[in-house]
Amino acid sequence: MDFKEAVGWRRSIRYFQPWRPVEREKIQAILESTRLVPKPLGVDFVRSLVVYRDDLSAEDLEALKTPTTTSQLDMAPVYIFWFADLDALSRAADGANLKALTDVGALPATHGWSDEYVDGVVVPQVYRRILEDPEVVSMPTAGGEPVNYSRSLVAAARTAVGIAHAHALLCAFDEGVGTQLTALNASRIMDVPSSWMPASGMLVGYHAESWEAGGQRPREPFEDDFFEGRYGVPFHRDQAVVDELEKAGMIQPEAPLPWRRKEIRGLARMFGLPE
Amino acid sequence: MEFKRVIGSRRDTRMFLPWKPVEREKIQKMLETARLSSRAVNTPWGKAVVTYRDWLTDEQRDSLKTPIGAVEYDLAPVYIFWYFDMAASRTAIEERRWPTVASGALVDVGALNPTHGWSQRYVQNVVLPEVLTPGISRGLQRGGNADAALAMEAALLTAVDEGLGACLVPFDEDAAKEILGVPDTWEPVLAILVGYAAESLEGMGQNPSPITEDTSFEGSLETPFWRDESVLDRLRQSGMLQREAPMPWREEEVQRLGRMLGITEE
Repeated sequence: MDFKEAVGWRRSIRYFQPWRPVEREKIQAILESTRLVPKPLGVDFVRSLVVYRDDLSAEDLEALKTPTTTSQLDMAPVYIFWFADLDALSRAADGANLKALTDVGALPATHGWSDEYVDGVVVPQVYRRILEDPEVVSMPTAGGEPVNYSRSLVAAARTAVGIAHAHALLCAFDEGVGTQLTALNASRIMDVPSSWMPASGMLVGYHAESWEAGGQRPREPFEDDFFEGRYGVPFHRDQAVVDELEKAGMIQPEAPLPWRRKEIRGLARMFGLPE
Repeated sequence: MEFKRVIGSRRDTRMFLPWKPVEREKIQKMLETARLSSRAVNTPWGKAVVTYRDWLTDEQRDSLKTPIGAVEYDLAPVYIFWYFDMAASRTAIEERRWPTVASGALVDVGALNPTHGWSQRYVQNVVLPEVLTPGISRGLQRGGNADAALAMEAALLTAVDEGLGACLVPFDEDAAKEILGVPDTWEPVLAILVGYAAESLEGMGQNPSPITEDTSFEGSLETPFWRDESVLDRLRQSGMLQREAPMPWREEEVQRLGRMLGITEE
């Protein structure tokens, strides 16, 4: 699929065909796409766990539900739980990962990179400062007391997860399956290391609702989000660019599409859900 | 460009053609993609300020540099500074001016439906008091936001799709705040530096990555996610998996480019 079409077709899908399994190769493709992310600090923070709905007990399935994640859990055949390992930076604090990138020319000598620079500057001035940031965030752990982690470390880890999410979501649509990021509490049903910070999980399955899914979700004004030169000066939105992106399939008709209510009623009947 | 080739062609570009400007429309496309990205409760957590190397003084440019992002600021013509708006949740809940879950807009447009328990009453009686409001009662929470980073990465991939080079770099928070005048409620994520790449895609190669089995699991943490070689073959054919660094000629490319760009001594 063309990149811009993948962006355009991405929705938070909440109606999946529960009876139709997702080919394992598609899940692998999603995971492979997240290997190719830019890594903040050159560190591998991101961890993932693929779980199949039908391998879970009814009790575990119910335990995963939250006020914002309900029936779609019953429908999606695959869940991908995402985490950030908050111990990853400590393990990388010898700078070996950066030295490896220096060796292959990814961190070039023209920009000052060398093993000596990693040891003498980056590790003490960046890694250590992040690890020793006096500002802390209290993080819940699986079944234990909250643990304080450096605020800078948690921010970097969340950034890493968000980057991985961007690849994984778009890759799912490129593979022809729907997905949604949603709140899932893995620690309620499985033991994960206490240093693993849970992030939004992904439900994956074949669409039961149309690919339009009612239309692209409405957004705030472009000018509320993006500025040029200085905050307060909106980045001017050129309509010609918007027109081009509409032609490319990236910007699509916004929800609600006129037939959405009928689609929802049909889906309700299909799944025996409230209308 | 095909999606998988975009993923496969992304590099941490660090050598840009400093004299070649980036078309403004390409920057807008990056921002448009970010705006369409997934975000929890449809709240715009990610914000960005675009500025241009040549709009800054040498002193301002130098003030933005960090030990892991310096020369890149001298070369890239466009900088996009990404932030996490820590006040976005409060704005969404109290001002209701954006089409978020808190405003009820997603129920109205049929994105959240009665089939899954959603109604305006459910938003008011359950989601606001149990999910959304407890978050804002704790005050502004520094510590990053995955959805702001997700938006940033969507923009970065668009740069690749548009034929540009880009890399993520950290920036000095105080210097950027002085230059850009961003609110106290914005926490830095990273900057995307954008320009036309001076270095070759092949020369950079894909960065060696850890094998998936170390980081991904299936069913339980006892079972690494096994990589099927036939899937890897398919991804190679699609352009998503490309040759890993280093190419045997990479060192010479770096040296020659360094001379061309005036960042290494003759």
